[in-house]
Amino acid sequence: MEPVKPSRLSRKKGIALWVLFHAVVLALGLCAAPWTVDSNLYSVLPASDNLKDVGEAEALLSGRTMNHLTLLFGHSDFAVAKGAADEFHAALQGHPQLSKVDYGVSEKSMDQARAFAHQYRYTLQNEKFVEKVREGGGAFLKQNALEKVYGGFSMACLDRIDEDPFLLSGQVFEDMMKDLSFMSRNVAVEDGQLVVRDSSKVYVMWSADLVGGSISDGSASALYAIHEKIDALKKADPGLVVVTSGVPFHSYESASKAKAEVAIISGISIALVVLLILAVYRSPAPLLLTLFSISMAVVTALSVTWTLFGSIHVFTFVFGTSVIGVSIDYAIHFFTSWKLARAGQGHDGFQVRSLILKGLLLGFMTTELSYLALTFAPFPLLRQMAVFSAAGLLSSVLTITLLFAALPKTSKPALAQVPLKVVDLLLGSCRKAFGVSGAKKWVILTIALLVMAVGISQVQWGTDLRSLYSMSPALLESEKRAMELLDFGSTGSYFIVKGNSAEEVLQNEETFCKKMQQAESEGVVGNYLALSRYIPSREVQEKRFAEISAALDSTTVAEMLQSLGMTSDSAFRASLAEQPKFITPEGELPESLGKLLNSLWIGKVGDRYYSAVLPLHVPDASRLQELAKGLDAVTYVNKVGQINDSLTRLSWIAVVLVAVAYALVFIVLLVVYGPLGAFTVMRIPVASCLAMVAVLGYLGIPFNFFATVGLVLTLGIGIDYSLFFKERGVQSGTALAISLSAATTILSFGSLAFSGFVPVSTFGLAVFLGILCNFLLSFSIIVPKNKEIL
Amino acid sequence: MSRFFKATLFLLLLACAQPFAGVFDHPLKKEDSAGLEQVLSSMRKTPVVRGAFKQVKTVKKINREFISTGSFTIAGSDGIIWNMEKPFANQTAITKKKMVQRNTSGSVSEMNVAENAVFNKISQTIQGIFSGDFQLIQSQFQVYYEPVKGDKSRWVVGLVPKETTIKKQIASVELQGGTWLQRKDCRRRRKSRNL
Repeated sequence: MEPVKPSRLSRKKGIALWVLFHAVVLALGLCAAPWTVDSNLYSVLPASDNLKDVGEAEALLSGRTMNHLTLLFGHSDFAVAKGAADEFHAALQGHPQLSKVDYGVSEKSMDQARAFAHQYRYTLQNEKFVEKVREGGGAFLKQNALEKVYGGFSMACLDRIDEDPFLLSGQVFEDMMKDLSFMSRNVAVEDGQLVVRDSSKVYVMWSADLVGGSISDGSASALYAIHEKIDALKKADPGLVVVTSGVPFHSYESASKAKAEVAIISGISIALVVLLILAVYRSPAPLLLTLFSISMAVVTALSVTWTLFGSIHVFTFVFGTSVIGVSIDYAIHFFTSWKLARAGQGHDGFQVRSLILKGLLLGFMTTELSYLALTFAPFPLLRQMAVFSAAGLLSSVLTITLLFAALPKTSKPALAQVPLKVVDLLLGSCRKAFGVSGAKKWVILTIALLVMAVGISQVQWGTDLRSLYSMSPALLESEKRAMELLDFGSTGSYFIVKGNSAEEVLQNEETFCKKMQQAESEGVVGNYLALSRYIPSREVQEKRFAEISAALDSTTVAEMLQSLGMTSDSAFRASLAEQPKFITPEGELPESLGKLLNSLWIGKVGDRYYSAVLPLHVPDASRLQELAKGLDAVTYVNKVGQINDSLTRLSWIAVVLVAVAYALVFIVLLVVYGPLGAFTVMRIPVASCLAMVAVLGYLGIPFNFFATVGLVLTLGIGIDYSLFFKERGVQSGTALAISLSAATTILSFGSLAFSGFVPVSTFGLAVFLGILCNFLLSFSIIVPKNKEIL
Repeated sequence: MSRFFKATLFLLLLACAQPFAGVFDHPLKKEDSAGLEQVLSSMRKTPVVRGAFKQVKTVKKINREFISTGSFTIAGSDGIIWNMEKPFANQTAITKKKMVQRNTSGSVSEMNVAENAVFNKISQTIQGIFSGDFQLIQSQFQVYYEPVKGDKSRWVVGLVPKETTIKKQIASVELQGGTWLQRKDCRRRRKSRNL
């Protein structure tokens, strides 16, 4: 037995300190109620650096888009499709978590649109019309109106012809109807419903927004109700097809999947770990105490995360399963030393703590340094994961060093002999494997380096967001179908226009729209949606009123009234006297126009005002960015591309953080072990990281941001094995503890590799490979001094 | 070679239309469906129909009627050409995809029907009415039918749009015909009327 130095901290003080720490943490956790869980898919993503200037406005706009749900009820018989949509609407209407439910074209909305067009008939005329007025004057206005009066297919309403003999409101109404609320060229109106058709079916459209926007806000119940109703309708009529589209459906599926994954991954990890511990320690005490340690670690991690972040992302839970693997390591080292001592002859908990304290603290420090490095990454989710794990690990270390230290000497059966024999065999094999010398050593080293170099050369660097999310086949098919049917023509890219006032935004938009018109005529964009096309700036509205009213001289008016057979101009004059009327994006808009403009007008965010311009039917999206060039008020937003760039940049930041973490750990080891000792320990995680990258290269798995995060943890967790071997020397007990630790950690991360969420599986696989290499290479430390070390 | 039929759209003043005013009291019965379909399908058999029209729009608010005359061509499901001659020249061509208008000064304006869902619907409906597409008519309108007593070859059909958006434009349509469509009386919502 090794001599044991008495620890300075007494048992009682240690327990008191442990209780105090956990009481404070628990109190903080209780104060953080309500304990919300965020499963919003988009909140996983980092903000793009290029959008810093318009970040909040963009987030607000994205938030609205992200909340939107579209459903299409399809059947070969329109009546059946409509019946199903009606039933669905009746069931979901009034659901507290659904807002802006859009179903059918109401009579009221048409009346509102006509009244609105009449009210702003002088100020909302489009530029083409005003240009014709400029060229043709009153004669044009007169002829234009007469064509509508006598024409066979005019949409102009003659009901208010006495107030509006030039039928200006009809012109505005026609503009509003164009694109209005439908936005899709495929959507038609049938029996009061918006419908789309394909070769075999007719689909009735229903849409709504989720209140709160994220599944975590309780809106899951709305989605559950939607799915339940869809299932019931499909069951009633197997010929019914329901196409769903919208981010909430993906978040709902991901959340359900992630929750199931957490249960499965945690369940399998825990079950295997339980079996392993029971088999090795042959008594329930270490198992129960280890589970207690893990439970406290998880509770601490949750409390700290909720206190610091307000809510916890469901993927932090998935990542958090790794806390089980990491925190268990220290418990294993403790109980292996504790159980190795024969009943009545060995150490109590206090003595065991002194034995393992240095290795434990060094390991803890290096792991926490790795987590600390992650907190510097400009990615909220990653910071949350790091804080969660760091807090859990701290709790675990405190439980072992303060609480378990109070354990008496064990009188229970000693360790199982089989695992010890297995470890002895492993030690023997490793001595042989790592004990090669001379030319053979260099040949092996050269081959290993070459194999790694080839693997690394095959690695695909960079992060592509599209490859990170794999939706279920059903959801993918549904989204594809919706895209084909609706053909909105959206590319996912858009422009954000800013200004110091709503008026300035509109003026800036009008300047930008000249470029968009040019782009439209050149075929760069097929079409575009911009707020100023419907609500021009006050400056333009004033100008339009001035030009139109100037053309309405007394001769023109008299001639027009005469053509219409009207004898009095009093109604016209009285109505004109109420003009001009101006409208702003924040003014009272008819329902149909409001729906469209809600997706374009962002409004006031901070001190500024923002709007969005949506290019549609774009053949080559790469040409869009240049449209915003030279316009300070316009920012091009290509979220997927810009997030990809951000993630790739973050990957490099993470690599730098890894290097910094390695340097810090090396400095610590240099102080503790000197240059040779520090090198001996450090070369193992470095070689493991390189091997991990090479394997990913051979497997054809892109080395993305999440693999880089795995790199950080490979150092933090994997270095513990080398440290314990270095600290405790060559002995079966240490090898057993390390093997058990590695087995539990490998189980935890290995299970993550099976996750359906690509970032989690990439991360899990990277850490699994790194830890496996670390474990295998750590045996090189135990080679006797008379042998050369590879 | 296509057969051409000539038709004349008779203007019947409101008073003349009085005998048929009750068509909206006669919803289409199941037993009459086949008969009406046959009548309308015989209209469809003529690939191109040409005729003269006289359109009367009545605006009660100013107590005025706006009368226009000219010729029309209905080319089956391909579209309609509406050639107004009086009170001034104006040509309108409506196809499934677009509406093109040429005014007195010769300037041409074009509207992509697909870009305007409401107009698209109206355009489809108008084409359906003129071409006697029974399926389309039945899907878009509540159909009323009254055979003319004593003359089985003549018929009166009343149509009330199901569609809210169409109702905003057209309150009801009354069609009278024989071998081909002879009269269309389109009542605008509220205070105006087209004949």
